[in-house]
Amino acid sequence: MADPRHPHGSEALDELAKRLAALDQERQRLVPEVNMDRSAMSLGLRLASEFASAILVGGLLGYGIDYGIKTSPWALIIGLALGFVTGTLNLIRASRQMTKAHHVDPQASGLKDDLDEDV
Amino acid sequence: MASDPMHQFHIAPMIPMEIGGYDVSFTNASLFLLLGAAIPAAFMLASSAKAALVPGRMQTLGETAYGFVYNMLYSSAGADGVKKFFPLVLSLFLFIFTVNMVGLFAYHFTPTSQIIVTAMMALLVFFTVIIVGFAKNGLGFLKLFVPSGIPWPLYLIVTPIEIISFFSRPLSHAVRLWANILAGHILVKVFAGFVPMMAETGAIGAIGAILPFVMTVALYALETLVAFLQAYVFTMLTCIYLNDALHAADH
Repeated sequence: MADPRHPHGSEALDELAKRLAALDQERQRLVPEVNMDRSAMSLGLRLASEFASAILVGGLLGYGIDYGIKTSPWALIIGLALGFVTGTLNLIRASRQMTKAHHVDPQASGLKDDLDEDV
Repeated sequence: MASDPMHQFHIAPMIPMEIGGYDVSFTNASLFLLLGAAIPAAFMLASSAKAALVPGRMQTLGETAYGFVYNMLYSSAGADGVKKFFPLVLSLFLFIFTVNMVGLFAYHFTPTSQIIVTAMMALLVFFTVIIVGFAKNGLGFLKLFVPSGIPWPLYLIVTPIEIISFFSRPLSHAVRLWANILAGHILVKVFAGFVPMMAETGAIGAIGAILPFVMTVALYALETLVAFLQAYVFTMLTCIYLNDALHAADH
């Protein structure tokens, strides 16, 4: 019973918990954050749809306002311009999110990441 | 025409039906949509039928799928989000994943290659975000469009931009899944179509046909990855949007 390799009771549970924690740590070290946007085509389509949809929605909203209050074509023009701005902003946000998905070593030296978390 | 790359997206009625002048036939799309609902349901029932302390093979699979979606939702929407939205998110993920995977088999139809299917799912998420957002935060949900901490003249530009950005979400959400599946399936079919075309031209062509054949196999592997990836991406974005609905007032 006094065999140190076969502990019993709470001692055994502690031992097990310790070993599990060590294994978990090992696993997290060995398996880096999986980057799910691996396929280049899906990456491209993601950014393209992010950009194009904003322009489309901006244009449609502008057109709708024009249609409603008869200011054609001013709201459409402003809407399209804002749509382009939004598309670019969407792109920045998407790429920032992708960068965040990559595992960055917290010990790594260098500049602190952007302070403005969310524009 | 066997080598027409668009033929696979053709919707053909299987059981013609008509109600009140509308065509409500049971089509191949309906069949595969049903499969997309039935297979995950059967899978989950089978994996939880014998809920054992030491899980068997089926139960392990089921628990892995459950845990995968749970972690995804938990990491972006927190415990609150899991409590509210887990059934929706798990259903969406399993549905899209099943439909994409079943669609990879030859002669099978992929409902996610129809934009109406992906658009309805994206709109479901969109309206869930709006309804839950207003129910949870009241008018504080509108803070999503008025980010704090910028000088007030900028609101004239930032608010319209945020509004457009918000409304462009369902569109890009739907288009992304649809375009990936559509483009991938066309690509596979086009390369596969080259094989008989080249083989018909004679001995040299038949040897050359190995190249598009290898390409088809490679693309198929990629498509299998994309089928999972797009289900993941769609679900991931759903989680992010749902998080906005819960925490809009904290912006």
